[in-house]
Amino acid sequence: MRRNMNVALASLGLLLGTAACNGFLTGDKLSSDPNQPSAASIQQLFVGVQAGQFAFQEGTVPMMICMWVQACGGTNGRFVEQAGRYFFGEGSNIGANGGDWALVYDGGGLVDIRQVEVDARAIGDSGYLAIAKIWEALTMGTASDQWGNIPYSQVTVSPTPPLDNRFAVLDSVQKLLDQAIAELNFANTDTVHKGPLTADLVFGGDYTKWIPAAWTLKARYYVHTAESLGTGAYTNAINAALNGISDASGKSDLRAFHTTASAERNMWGAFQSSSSFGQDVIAGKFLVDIMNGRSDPRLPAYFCKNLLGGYGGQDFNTPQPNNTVSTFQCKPLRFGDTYRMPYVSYFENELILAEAYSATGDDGSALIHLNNERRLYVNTVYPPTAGPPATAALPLLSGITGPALFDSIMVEKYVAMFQNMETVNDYRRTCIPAVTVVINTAGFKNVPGRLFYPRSERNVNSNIPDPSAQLGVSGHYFRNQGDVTACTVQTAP
Amino acid sequence: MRITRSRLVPIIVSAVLALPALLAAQEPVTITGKVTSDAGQPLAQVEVAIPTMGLGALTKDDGRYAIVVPGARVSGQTVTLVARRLGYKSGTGQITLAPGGVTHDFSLATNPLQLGEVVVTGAGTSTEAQKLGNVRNHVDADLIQKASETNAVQALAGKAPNVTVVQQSGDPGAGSFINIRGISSILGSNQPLFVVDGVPVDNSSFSTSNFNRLDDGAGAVSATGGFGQTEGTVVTNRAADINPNDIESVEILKGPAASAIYGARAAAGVILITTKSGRSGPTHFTYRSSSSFDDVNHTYPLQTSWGQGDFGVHADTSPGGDCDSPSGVCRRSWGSPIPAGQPVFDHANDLYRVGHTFDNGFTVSGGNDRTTFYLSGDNTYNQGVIVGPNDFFSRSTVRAKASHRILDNLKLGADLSFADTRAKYIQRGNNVNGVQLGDLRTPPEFNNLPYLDGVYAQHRSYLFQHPSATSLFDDRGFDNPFFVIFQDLNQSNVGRVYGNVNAEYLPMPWLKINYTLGADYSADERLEGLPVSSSSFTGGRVVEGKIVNYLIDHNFTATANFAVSPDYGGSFTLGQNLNTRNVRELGDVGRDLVATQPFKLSNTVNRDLPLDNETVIHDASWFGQGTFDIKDQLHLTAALRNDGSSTFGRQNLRAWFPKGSAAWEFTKAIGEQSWLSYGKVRVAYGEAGQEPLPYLTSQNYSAGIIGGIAQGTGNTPTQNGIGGLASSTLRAANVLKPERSKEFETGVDLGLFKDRADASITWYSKKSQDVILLTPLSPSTGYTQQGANAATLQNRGWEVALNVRPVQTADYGWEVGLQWARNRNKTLSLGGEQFLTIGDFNNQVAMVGQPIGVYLGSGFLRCGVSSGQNVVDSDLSGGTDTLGAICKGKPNGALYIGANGFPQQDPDLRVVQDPNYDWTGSVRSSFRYHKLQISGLVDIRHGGQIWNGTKGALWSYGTHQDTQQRATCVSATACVGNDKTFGQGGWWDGPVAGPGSDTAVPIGENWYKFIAACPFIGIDEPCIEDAGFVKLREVSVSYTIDAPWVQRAIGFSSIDLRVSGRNLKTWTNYTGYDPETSLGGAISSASGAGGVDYFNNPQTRSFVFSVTLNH
Repeated sequence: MRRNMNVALASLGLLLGTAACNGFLTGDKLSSDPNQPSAASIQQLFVGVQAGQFAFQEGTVPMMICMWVQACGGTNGRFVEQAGRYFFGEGSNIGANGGDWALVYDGGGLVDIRQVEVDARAIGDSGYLAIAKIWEALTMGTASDQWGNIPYSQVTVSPTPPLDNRFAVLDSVQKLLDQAIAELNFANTDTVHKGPLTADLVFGGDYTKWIPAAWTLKARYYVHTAESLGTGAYTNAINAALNGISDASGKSDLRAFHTTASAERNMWGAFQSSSSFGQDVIAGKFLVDIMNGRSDPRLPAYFCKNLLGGYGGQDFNTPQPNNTVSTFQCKPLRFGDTYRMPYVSYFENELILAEAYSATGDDGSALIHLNNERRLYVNTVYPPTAGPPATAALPLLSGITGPALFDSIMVEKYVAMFQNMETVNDYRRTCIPAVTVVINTAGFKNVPGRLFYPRSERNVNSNIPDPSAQLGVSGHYFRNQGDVTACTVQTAP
Repeated sequence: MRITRSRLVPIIVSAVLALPALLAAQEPVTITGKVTSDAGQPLAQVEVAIPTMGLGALTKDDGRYAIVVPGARVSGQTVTLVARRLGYKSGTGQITLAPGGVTHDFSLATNPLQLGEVVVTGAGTSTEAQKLGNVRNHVDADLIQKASETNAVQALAGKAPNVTVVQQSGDPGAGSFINIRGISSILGSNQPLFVVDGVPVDNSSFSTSNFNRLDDGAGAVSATGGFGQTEGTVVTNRAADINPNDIESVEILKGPAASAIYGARAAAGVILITTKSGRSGPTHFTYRSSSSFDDVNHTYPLQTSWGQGDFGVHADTSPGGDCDSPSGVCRRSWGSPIPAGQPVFDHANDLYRVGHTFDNGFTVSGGNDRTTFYLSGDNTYNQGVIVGPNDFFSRSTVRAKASHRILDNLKLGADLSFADTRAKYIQRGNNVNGVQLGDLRTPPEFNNLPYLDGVYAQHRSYLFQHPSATSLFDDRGFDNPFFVIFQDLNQSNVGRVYGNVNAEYLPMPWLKINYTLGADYSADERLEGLPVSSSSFTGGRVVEGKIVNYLIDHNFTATANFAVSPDYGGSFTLGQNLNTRNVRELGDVGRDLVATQPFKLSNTVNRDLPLDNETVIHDASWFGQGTFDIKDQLHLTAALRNDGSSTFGRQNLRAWFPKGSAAWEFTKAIGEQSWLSYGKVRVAYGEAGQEPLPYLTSQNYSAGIIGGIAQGTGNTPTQNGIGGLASSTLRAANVLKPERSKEFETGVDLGLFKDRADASITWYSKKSQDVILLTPLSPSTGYTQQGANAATLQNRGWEVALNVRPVQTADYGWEVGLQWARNRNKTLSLGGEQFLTIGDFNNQVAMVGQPIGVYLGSGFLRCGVSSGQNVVDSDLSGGTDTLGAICKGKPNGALYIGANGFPQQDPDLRVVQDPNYDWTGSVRSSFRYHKLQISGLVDIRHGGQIWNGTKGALWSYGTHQDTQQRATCVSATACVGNDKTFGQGGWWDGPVAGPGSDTAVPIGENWYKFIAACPFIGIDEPCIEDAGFVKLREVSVSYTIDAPWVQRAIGFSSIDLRVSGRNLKTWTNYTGYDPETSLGGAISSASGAGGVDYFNNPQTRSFVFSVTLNH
């Protein structure tokens, strides 16, 4: 009996004792995630930033913008068409754009851009630092274009950062670009630090291409304030653009980088290939009509031929026969998997100059820069490696002045900047081209002036007003600071 | 002990002297008898035993038993004979073993409250039913058998109050989600812990789509670390590997008040499964065979009058025309009327056939006074209701369970199960390669057969009707449903072994030591193949992966019983548990097949970033439990568990979980009353937890997909061969501790009218604190989420059970059981946030003040509901005013109708759906006449809402029967005919406001496609439907043939014949397939996000015929 008891108690003590060791609860694969890295180098983050920003610049926002300016049409009644019909809200799967918002700020966005800047400062690499700043300027400037006042100055300070005034954001962006330009000039002389080199998927670390791109970007943001600030803004834009991209070959354009790998493709092309929703975005009649009207040589690069062998687009208000509507399913050049979409380009620079000169009364200079853009071969919309196609440029214009010239400039910019979010900024500012507001049941009487803040931000950040309040007291007319007049009719400044 | 010569001599002498007595005792003794109920009915499966000798036998169908006592053990002694069967009070008798035979009959009284029965309470502890301080819900083998379900979890549907079971769909192998007393966690599984014979086992669900992060659009992180399953195929739950016929009984520990002994894994309750064991006595054989006939219980009503096209224009379906391209006018059925005489096709039904389940199994069990054994083998083959060879679930199981008493005080046992589970599934859900989506959207005049064209043998669909020599890789828009059925491959092959070795040691009469070492290993090989020309993946796609799940559980308990005096006694248990769980998931997606077959990653041109994920969790725990019984009427229990887990975080490696309960059998104090034969009040309190997901405290960088427009698009941080990373959007949590659910439960158990009836009433309140959620962060800070112990959830409810036995005679009997339960769930806090998205398809949220899972969606402008500041039309001539002004004097909820005669979207989101039931209940009745038994179960779920996105989509596509009556539209805004006035004549009846209130407007493509089509428009209100139902869940008719000729003719003692029906009839207002559908299955439901229907496969009803031969 006693022996049995001893055995029992000894067994009990032995077994209970094994649990006393907390080492059983910690250690390899227990205390830390064995599946993901816990550290990242500056190069790894920088490549990730570029991937993230390619996705932002080619995501749902530009698709929605393309429909709002009716360069694209929407069909099949699903979310793409509904976005084009202004059916969107903070909870929609397009229009709320919570994913795009995250691309601005989260992994691959501002948080990693800032970390690249921190790392670049730590190693004293001005080239890395400057390029990261240009990416930050492009990202935050674009975000402000689409959402107006956005969190920016306090994002690293407050868990619920307040909204910065849009002009304050643009001012910060201008300063950032100034710093970047200065740092790139220094980096050109720095023989120790090499910058990102091939990790720079845009220019391969060529600072001499980044500097004019930064100037063109500055010009873009000056122009964004022109409706509000007038001539001064245009003058600043001219001064900046004169230092901007002057290489007509397209090789100095700030472009995306894409390959045929499934997660490295041009997003518009991937959308056509890999999502059934891709078929829902089609050609917009408004753009196709303009291009048909002047036999624009870019037509085959933009659209597939319709079933009649020509080009046509869909009109949200007046349904067009199916056989007249061009789609993108043939994946024309602009929708090619490897197409390197230009985000900031020579032709934009020239058209900024043209607009700014025209708006400040210098029609002669304006016409020169407009024709500089019109004389381009279509190769500027092709990847630089594709070689010039055998397609003639647009005929040069002459003898055109005043509002007619301004209109020509803006219409040309509308055509040239196809798929680029800048088209809606131009429209808001100038109301050119005069797209007809889509008849809708969502209550909009104008083309929407900007996007709702995503629900994910409003849920947490009390600085974000309710959607109904975002629309404003006059209802469905919401616009950004600087977008002084809602476009109800075509007007020229 | 060494035997010396001096000791050997007396032994031999004694033996010689004793020889005559020993020889006299060589004759065995046979004890026979018959066991009947107190109503005189013979009782089968009664265990009659002599506990002191370890001998026993089971009664046969005629109630008779026979125990043979070996002559060597007979010495004329008097022994106690005990007869036990669940549901009856045990009987005892004293018999004297004497040469020859002994006869002893028993008459057992019914025991509706299971008084005196041993109840397993988990982690190696047990008690008697009357001592339980919490409500007992027990499901025995008979009820499981009557359910005739392949999935053991599904067999629990309707069996206990507040135990809700939802099957994902009627697909073979579709998973069943089980929840007890509501949602108490946001990231945790919300399904109870499954414990088989003392060892926790895996009941996870893993969607093959989780291997495919690029195409899977679902978003919410689940308890498994995976994502939703709103596309792809249904997913089974791993408890489906259990053969239901092996289950002896199921104890349901409903919440912390009962389950705290399992500590940090028991907040959602525990399901304790005890498998069948052998019993000493003659070897018992059974052979069982059953087959079922299954069909779809409801189909979608589709219109058959309008053809393919748009705005009244018939699509060009000629070769090379519009409908050889997946876009444009061919997509929908808004064309011209189908000419009389043109054939139309029954797309609602043409995919289906009568499915079958064939189940064949055997058991062999028996043993002697020292050894018992149970062997079983079973094969279930469930051929689904969708035509073709790729819709099945097959499970083969083998179980061996044995014990051997090697010493009088030491018994060793082993329990080993093997399951081979193979299934092929059909793609469904939010998926252009899904069978439902392509089928139900097909225009009525298009014949989906043949699915390959006759010339090029290529995939043809209604969006791509005439393949050509060069069209193999052209997009078909939506897959032809028959192409999906016959050409796709979606398979899962699982090999699983689980079981334990155990020991029971009694070093002293008052001390019992139990040890169990268990393991559960499964390897699940998945393969999904989409052939060339599949929509969106025209080059074909292969998803291949493997999930390996491995756990080891060590459990040690020592239980000491003590008696201070005859009136005071109790027990004390001390235990320890070590548990490790390892999950490995490795899979990849290959795109563009090199050759059209085989579906192998190696046969693809491009491969995605692989999913390579592993998790390791270690738990180490102590626990102790004490019971104290006072005057055999007041029973006190207290327990305490200390858990350590690697998931807790280093700052909080251990946590305490207490429980305590009291049960007072007050009728022992006041005496039985004429109407009250038994009464017990009980009160219990317990705390249990939910472990954090692993690795929430790690700050990481991700190489996964970022951005993207829709499924199939997105970038990896790595580009052009240069490795890239992006900050995880999940910010590391600093400190995490387990979630803690505190439950108070009280109730009363009553035996009424001399046990003609019994009732149980329970009230509980469970508050779950420190609930871990991925706290939303302002995305503008750089992170979107962070794990935190931030939320508080509450579940309160009532559970009532009433069983009545109005007629009980030897020849016939009738019983009725009623169950009613209500659970009220409420989110009390989210740590400062107002809502948190938990859905993986819709915007279902946890929202402060609301039940979890409500849908924060979009509705129409309504008075008193929408912001009064909305600017709206005030008159028909272009004036505007605020909604508040327009609504003055109008009732709350009045639908605002704009000047155009239509309602308008509310720009602000609001709660538009609550998927939680108001109450649930069931009615069970059984009738016995001689050997004929008839029983039925009606399952009732009242209230709750479901989002019928399927109908919304079919409205948009113009194929739903609702669109049969339609206005003629030439554009989205120019329509005539089929005029309706909102708020009148059965069209959106209810109060209205606004300038268009009395305006009749045409209802056609303008409404169904551009306003009401919730999946595409984003206005969810038109798609919200009542999810309540009354379902005839089970009907069973059985008859036992045990006439002597059976033995003579086939050598078996009896034959049980059973005809049963499952889900035979559903009464519901829901217009979809079935209100029980669950698009996201267990993964979504486990997060509280049920109530979503989007092209899920239908549910089925079944007739089952079974034969069991007993020997």
